[in-house]
Amino acid sequence: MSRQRAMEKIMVSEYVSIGELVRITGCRYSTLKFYTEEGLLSFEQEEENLTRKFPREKTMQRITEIKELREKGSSIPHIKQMLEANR
Amino acid sequence: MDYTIMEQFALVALDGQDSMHNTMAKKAAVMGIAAANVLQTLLMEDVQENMNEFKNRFCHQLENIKKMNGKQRRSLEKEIVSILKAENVLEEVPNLLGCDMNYYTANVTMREYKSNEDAYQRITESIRAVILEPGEVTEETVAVLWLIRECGCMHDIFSIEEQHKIGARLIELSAESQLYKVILGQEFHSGVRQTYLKYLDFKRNIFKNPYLEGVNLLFPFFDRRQAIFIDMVILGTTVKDRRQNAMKFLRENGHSCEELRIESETMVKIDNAYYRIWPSARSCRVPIQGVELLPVYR
Repeated sequence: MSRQRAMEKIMVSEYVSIGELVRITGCRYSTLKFYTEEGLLSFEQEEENLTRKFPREKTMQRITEIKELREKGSSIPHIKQMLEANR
Repeated sequence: MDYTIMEQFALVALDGQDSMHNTMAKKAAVMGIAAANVLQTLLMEDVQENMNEFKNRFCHQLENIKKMNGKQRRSLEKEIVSILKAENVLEEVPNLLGCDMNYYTANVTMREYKSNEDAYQRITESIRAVILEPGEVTEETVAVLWLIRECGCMHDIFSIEEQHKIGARLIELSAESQLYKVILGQEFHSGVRQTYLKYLDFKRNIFKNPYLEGVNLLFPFFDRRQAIFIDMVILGTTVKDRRQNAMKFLRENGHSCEELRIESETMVKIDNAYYRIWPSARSCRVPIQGVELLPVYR
């Protein structure tokens, strides 16, 4: 049982949940879930049924990169390849 | 921006509701807004430390909501609408059905509430993320979900499969937390209204069924997400031109439109709902060419 964190707190915290990522990026949940399943967004999870924690800054930057590439017309497999090559 | 429980629920429940007339769905939404106000006040007071007191106060105030009359409901609706309008997240636009050939040419004025798309998406998608993902569920999410369930808006946000998952998750949450058990166990609609909401659920399921979606084409006024027909001159135009023309017409009538390519089909997002669009004709003395728009459900 917990309270929803205010935006101010989310914006200074190191890790965020997927629900908070939706709130700060405005992306759809299904989109973020798909990116996570495709391995485009990395997260930490202590146990299977516990909340997935995403490093806020790194994930937001990654989502911006993906959005820009999508706007240029790149497909997800192509974006995946590009991001892996840049690692 | 952070929204209170009441604002979150109001943005979800009022979206697409008739702003000029009193419909049963809007009555349910306004009573939900009143319940949201009660619950958010109690949660802010931290009364839940004494669960019996919380339950007594909560039940007592919900009983008062059940007895709300039309005047009280209208005053609450005005109040929440003015708050949301001041925050620039709610507006009144011409009703989509008003863009249908039969209504438009008959000069019928119909208006509806439209929630800001970005705010609506952030609220609904964050609720989806919190409840459908493993991990902790916040008090606010449970509260908004309870209100959405009680007011029959689950179909707007979740698919049938997701609703089954959420039902099971809410039972788990009730078993884990006394507070959630108290919240999720309450109702604030009278018996008659409950029956009507069940009928709305039943009706929505009919429209969702792909074999029966033609019902919406014949009787669009039955559902909040109406099927409409827009007539146009089609000499020398392609399917794409017709789609663009229809979107231009809808934009001129105060609706926001966006083309979405989903697999091999191009859909149109109008305000906060998705529509299938295809060229069609209405048979009158002479065939009238145009496009048909049919809502797509989750």
